Amino acid sequence: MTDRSTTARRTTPATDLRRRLRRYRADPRPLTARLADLYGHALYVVIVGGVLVSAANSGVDSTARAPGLVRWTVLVGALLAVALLCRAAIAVGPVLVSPAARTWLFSSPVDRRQLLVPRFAALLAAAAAVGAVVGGAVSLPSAAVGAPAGVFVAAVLVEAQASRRQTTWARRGIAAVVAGLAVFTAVLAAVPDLPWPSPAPVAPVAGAVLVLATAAAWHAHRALAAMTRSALSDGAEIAAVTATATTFLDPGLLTGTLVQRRARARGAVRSVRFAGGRRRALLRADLLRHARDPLGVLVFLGLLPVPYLAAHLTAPDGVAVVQLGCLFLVADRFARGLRLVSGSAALRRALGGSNAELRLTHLVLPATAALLWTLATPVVAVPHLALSVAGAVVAVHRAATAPPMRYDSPILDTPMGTVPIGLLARLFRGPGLLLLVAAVHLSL
Amino acid sequence: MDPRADAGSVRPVLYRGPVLDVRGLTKAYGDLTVLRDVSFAVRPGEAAAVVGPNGAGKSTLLHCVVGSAEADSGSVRLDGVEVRESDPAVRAAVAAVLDDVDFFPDLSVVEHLDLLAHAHGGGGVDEVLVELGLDGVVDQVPSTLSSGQRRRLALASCLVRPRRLLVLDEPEQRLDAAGRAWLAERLTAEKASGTAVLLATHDVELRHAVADRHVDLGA
Repeated sequence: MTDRSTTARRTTPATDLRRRLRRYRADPRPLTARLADLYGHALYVVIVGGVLVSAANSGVDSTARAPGLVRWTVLVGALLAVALLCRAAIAVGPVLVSPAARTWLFSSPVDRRQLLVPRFAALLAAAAAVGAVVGGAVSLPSAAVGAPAGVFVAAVLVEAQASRRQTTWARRGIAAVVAGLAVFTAVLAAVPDLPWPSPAPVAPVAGAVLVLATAAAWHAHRALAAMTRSALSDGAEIAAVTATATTFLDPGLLTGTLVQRRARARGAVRSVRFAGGRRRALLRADLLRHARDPLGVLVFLGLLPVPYLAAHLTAPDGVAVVQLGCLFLVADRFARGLRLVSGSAALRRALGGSNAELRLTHLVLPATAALLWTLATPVVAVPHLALSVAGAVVAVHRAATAPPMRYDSPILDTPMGTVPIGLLARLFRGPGLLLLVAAVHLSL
Repeated sequence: MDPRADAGSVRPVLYRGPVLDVRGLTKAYGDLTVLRDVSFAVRPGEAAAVVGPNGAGKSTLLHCVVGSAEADSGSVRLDGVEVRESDPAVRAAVAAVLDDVDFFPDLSVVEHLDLLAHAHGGGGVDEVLVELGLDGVVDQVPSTLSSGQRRRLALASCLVRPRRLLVLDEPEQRLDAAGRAWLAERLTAEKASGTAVLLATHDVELRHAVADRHVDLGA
């Protein structure tokens, strides 16, 4: 017969388990091969990052009337990126274990905090690096503030993960930050001469944030022991789908899962009954899904000031390209019904009618949203506006109606490695058309 | 004259042959032939049961019948016209629950059925909800239903719309004993109202209660 103390004595220490797991998962290749891989990845990030930064710099008008506006814009962009990163972190954890570890490892009486410490430490290190980069984007000394601020934010998110209620509050906080940034973008568009504050001494601020970050990290470390198995692995599905969607460059895989999860979280709704004929009912259903999940409306409103801001920063052809990108995002958010119907043969069979009729009916909402958004942002000449609306709507339609990925397509050997042609065809079906329209804008 | 001159109608006037006519159907996945020279016909008010062990090609046959899989040779005719999945007339005439069943994730149970009813000019949503015991979950979204309730919702999706041919892939799956008894009764009633039924099933009782003929893929 065993009592609780005997069981506790027999439990394998967490450090022992971690050592064993490391040994099982160890990469059998020599160190040089692993370092070569790491170098390849780092080089890829530097090259792609360099190209993006260079493209962004070349698009900014160096003779802008308000030099401070560029710095404000960079700050808003960086903060928006951080907010979206935090939202993604909440969706997957941020401390995440695989379903296998949840079932077999975390069901044992092992010290949960000890087992999670390496992941927690890696998360804080990554957050410090991101914070330093964001701070450095504003001004180089600000990196010293950004790093501890990143640690603070990550620690708060880990703390929130331990409690469903706090997770809800964290989600709301991030939504408030994004809304605040949208409002501030509108302010910048209206007042492009907003002065950039005079530089404050970095050291005291960095010191204060460091103290806060240390306290938050200590508190979050204590919260690790209270993490439930469900809190640790709820995001595993999202993480797995994100990985697949990234590998196959198919965001539709991720959005489908997110829609299912949101619906499941909602559980029940106040049902409505449809009236009128077939098309009226289909349109009403399409509207209904946006009334229940107003992300499309928020994106519509949030992006409104962006072309006005771009008009202060870049030449008219550049503004047209920015507007095209925004239009694509707006129309894409309203194309949920189109994606649903196009992606499911069973739903098309159930709804009846022809594929063309179903697609056109579900294109009404994205096209209307794009048109209204364009009417609200007439910052470039009419030919540019017309081209952007048509290009964005067609690109959204093509992306949403892409046929399923063909895994047996021929392989293309590129300097970056082998790529299935089917994958490229899918990728360029929507965004590729967008690039083409952008090129036309720049040549007009 | 095209027997389905009125493309949206589910009740052709002139055609008097079988609703479904399958001739010499052959389908292979690579080197694996799953259907070889399959032929059968189903007339209005008749039911045919597709039987065979797992992997015999029952689901593939049903997908060929609704046009969502393409046969290598042979023909599938609905009211005398070759079946194409994207043909609105086929979609208007065939109500199907196959292995790829799907629901609108963001609509409630009653909204899902109401939308399908409006899309086809059907109705009777409330009666179908009661008949299938779904009247207690009308406001829930499909992903919160149990697997048995989801199966009932899939069957309900076929009943709120007009149909000439009902194609069901193992409809008894995940139904409790009362649900299976209801299914046998309902399919018998469907036959009596003139609907042709094609079902793949492992349920011997259901087969005996409903089927007028068998398509044995294991033979």
